[in-house]
Amino acid sequence: MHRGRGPHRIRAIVRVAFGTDVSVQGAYQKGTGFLNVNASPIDIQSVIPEPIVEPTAIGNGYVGSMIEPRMATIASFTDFTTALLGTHGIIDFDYMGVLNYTAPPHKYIFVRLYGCGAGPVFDEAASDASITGGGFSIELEYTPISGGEA
Amino acid sequence: MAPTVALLRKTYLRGRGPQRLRALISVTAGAQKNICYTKTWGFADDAGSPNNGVNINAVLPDKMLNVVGNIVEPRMTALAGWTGWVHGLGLPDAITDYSGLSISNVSSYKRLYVQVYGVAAGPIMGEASTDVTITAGSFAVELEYTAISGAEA
Repeated sequence: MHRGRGPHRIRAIVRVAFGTDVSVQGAYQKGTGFLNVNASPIDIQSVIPEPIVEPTAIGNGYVGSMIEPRMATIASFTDFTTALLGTHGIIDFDYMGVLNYTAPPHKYIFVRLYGCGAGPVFDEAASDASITGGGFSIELEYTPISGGEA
Repeated sequence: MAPTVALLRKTYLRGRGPQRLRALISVTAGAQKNICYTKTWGFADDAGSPNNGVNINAVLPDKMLNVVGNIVEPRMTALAGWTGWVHGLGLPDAITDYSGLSISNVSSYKRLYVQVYGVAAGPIMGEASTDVTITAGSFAVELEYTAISGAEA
């Protein structure tokens, strides 16, 4: 519910951008999605630090989606050997992994890239260990545990 | 010459605008809970009425208007996850797409239409083929609507 006595919901838009410096390079693992260059998950805990209701099922806790346009120019992901054909792919929000009280707490986001592969087939991008440019934005809607309206 | 531009709706999410509710609904096919698919219409829960979509009135019985819907991401779906479906698309992936919700508050139905697209022979971007018995697979939709009752259920 958007008003009244329903759970308080917050929406946040988060931008993930890769760069040339090794500290901000990305990677891609087929079957998982975009990762940090060391193959660790992309963690947005630093920009959304508050504990949120942890997801246990679809819609319980959070809902995420790509900020459109979801069609991405493959060339915009620098150094990403996607093995996809043509000029464009589709980015898709997969899920967010949340742990509020482990050490350290985290909010891992997983976004995947699809397009036209040889065959032709509709396929996911190939794994690549280093991506030095490009990015995506996602919108997350969630219930904060605190009840705060931050 | 210029295209026609129309304001379809402007919604105030809090304050004195219309009360809007959002509901998340998952549809899951199983061995004893088959779903079928009708090309150009989408998934249907009754092979005897293959153009009638999936009736979600049982889980969303409130009367409503002005519905906006979308697929809960991920909208990419692995075709291997849809058991028993001769879909006619090239493996491995496809896109689920919310098509519409047909509502009759008087006859008490809410027919949900979700379609699946992918790469077909040609190659072309095509829709999945009709099949009457799909025994596994699922999708989820988010619906935002105005409750006629004004209730905050």
